[in-house]
Amino acid sequence: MDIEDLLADLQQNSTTIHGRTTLNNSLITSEINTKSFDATSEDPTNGISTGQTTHLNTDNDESYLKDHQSTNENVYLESFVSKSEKNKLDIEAFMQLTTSWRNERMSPELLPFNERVFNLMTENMKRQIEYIDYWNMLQESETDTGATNEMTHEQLLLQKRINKLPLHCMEAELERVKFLLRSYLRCRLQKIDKFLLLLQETDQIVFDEVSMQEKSILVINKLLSEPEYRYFQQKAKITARLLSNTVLLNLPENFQQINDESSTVKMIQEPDLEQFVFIFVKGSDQKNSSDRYKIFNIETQEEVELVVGGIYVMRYDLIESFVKDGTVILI
Amino acid sequence: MYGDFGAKLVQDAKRSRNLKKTLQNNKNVTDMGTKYGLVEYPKDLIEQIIDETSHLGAKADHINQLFETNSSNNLNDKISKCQYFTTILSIHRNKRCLLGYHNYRRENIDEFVWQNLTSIADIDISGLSEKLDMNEKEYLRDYQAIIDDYSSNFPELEIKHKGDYGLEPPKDLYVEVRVLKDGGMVQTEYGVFNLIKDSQIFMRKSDAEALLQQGYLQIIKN
Repeated sequence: MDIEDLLADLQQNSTTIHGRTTLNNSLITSEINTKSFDATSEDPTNGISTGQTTHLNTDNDESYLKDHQSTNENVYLESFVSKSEKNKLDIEAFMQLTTSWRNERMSPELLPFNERVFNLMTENMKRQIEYIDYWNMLQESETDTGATNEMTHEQLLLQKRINKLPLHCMEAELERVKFLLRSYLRCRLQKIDKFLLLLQETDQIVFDEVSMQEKSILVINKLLSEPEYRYFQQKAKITARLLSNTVLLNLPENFQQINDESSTVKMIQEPDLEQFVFIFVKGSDQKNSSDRYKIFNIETQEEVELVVGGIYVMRYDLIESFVKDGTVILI
Repeated sequence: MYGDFGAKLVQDAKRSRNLKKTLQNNKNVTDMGTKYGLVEYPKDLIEQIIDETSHLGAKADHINQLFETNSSNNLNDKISKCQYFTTILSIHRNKRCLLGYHNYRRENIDEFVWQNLTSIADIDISGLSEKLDMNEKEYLRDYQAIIDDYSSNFPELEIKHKGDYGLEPPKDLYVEVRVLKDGGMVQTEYGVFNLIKDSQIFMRKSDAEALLQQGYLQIIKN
C-alpha cells in the first residue's frame, strides 16, 4: 500500500479542529480551522511528516495571517527534504504500526508483538515531545523580550496566537500517535486477559541461545513483549488465586483443576479461528512474487484466488499465514 | 434437585448483566456496584452449592467403592454406573456454574479497575467494597498493582493517567467542560483553574481527562 492510500484512509477519520482561545475579557476571538489534517506528525526533526494544508480565517487581519502561514510552510518543506531519508523510514514505521494495530484489533487471536516498529515510534514520540517543549519555551521567551512598541496590545496577542498554530497542530498529531500506541497496547492486554488460560497452557520456559538466559517461549517467539509477559504472569497468578480460594479448594478432591480432562466441556477459552474477517491483499515486497495467491479450502474442496489489491471476506484460519507474513492485512 | 442452586446463580449473573447494560448510558447512577454489575456477593447461595457438590463428591466415592467390592450382579452394575455418571455430571455442572459466576464478577472488577485508575482511593466511599468478597478485594488491589507495574514501562503514553478515556480517538485539543462538583484549584501546564460547581471551563483535553475520570467534570457536546 502506498502513502496515498493510507492518507486517503486516514482522511476519513480526520476531523476539523476548532481551537478557540478566550483570553483577557475575550478581546479577540480567533477561529482557527485546520482542515485536511492527516494523522501523521508534522515535526521536521521527527519526520513522519507530510505536507499539510492549513486554512486560517480571522476577522482582523487576513493578509498578515496568510503571509505568516506561508513562511511556516516553507520551513517545513526545507527540513522535509534535508531529512528525507530518515523521514521515509519513519513514515514506514508509522504505517506498519497502523497496520499492526488494525490487524490486532480485527483478528480473533493474539498476534506477535511488533516490537521493532513500536520501539521506533516510541523513540520518535519522545523526541517530538521534547521538540514541542523546546519550541514552546522558545516562543515564551521571544514574546517576553521581543515586544516592540509599534504593535498594539491587540496585535501582540494575535501574533502570540498565530505563533501557537503550528504547535497546536503538532500537539494534535502527537495526541493521535499516542492514541494509536495506547490503543495497540490496550487491545493486546484485553486479548491477553481473554486467553489467559490458553497462554498459560502454551507457556514454557526454555533456554534462549541469543541472550543466554532462560526465557519463556512466548517471549522468544515474539508473541508477547517482556512487560506483557510480566503482566500475563502476574494476572494469571492472581486469577488462579481468586478462583481457587473462592471455588476450587472447596470442591471434592478430584475436581480441583480448572480445566478437567475428564470433563466434557473445555474450560479454556480459545480464539474462534473460523471467524470471518475482511481482508485486503497487499502483495509481497519481494521481487519475484506473483500478484495472485491461491488458497485451498479442504473442507469445502474449493479453491480461492486472491488478487493483489482486492478486498475479500474470508475465514481467518485460511489466511492466517498470509496475515503473519504481511501479504494480507485485515481491515 | 441437584443443580438448582447452580442454575439460580447463573440466572443472577445474567440478570445483573442485563441491568448493567441498561444502566450503561445512565450517568445518574452513583452506586458503583450496580454500575459495574457487581451485586452483593451471594455467600449463602455459593456455600449451598459447595455443600451440595461435596455431598455429590462423597456419593460418587461411595458408588466407586461399590464397583470395586461387588461386580456380581449385572443389572445392578448398570444402574450404579448410570448413577455414577449423573453424579459426576452434576459435579461438573456445579463447578462450571461457580467458576462462570466468579469469572463474570472478576471481569467486572477488571472493568472497574480500568475505568477508575486514578480515583481508586475512593473505592470505600463508592460502596463497592462491601459488595465484594474478601478474596475479590485482594484481587482488585493486586490487579491495580499489576497495571501500575505495566504502565510504568511506558510513562509517556499515560496509560494509567487516562484510563479508558485513552481509548477514544483524540479529536480536539481543547474541550469545553462543565464542573459537576467543587474541586478547588487545579494546576495545569497552562494556568490554574478554579473548579466551582456549575461553571464552564475551556481547557486542554489532556488536562481534563483525569478530572473527567474522577467525576469532577462533564464534557459539553455541541
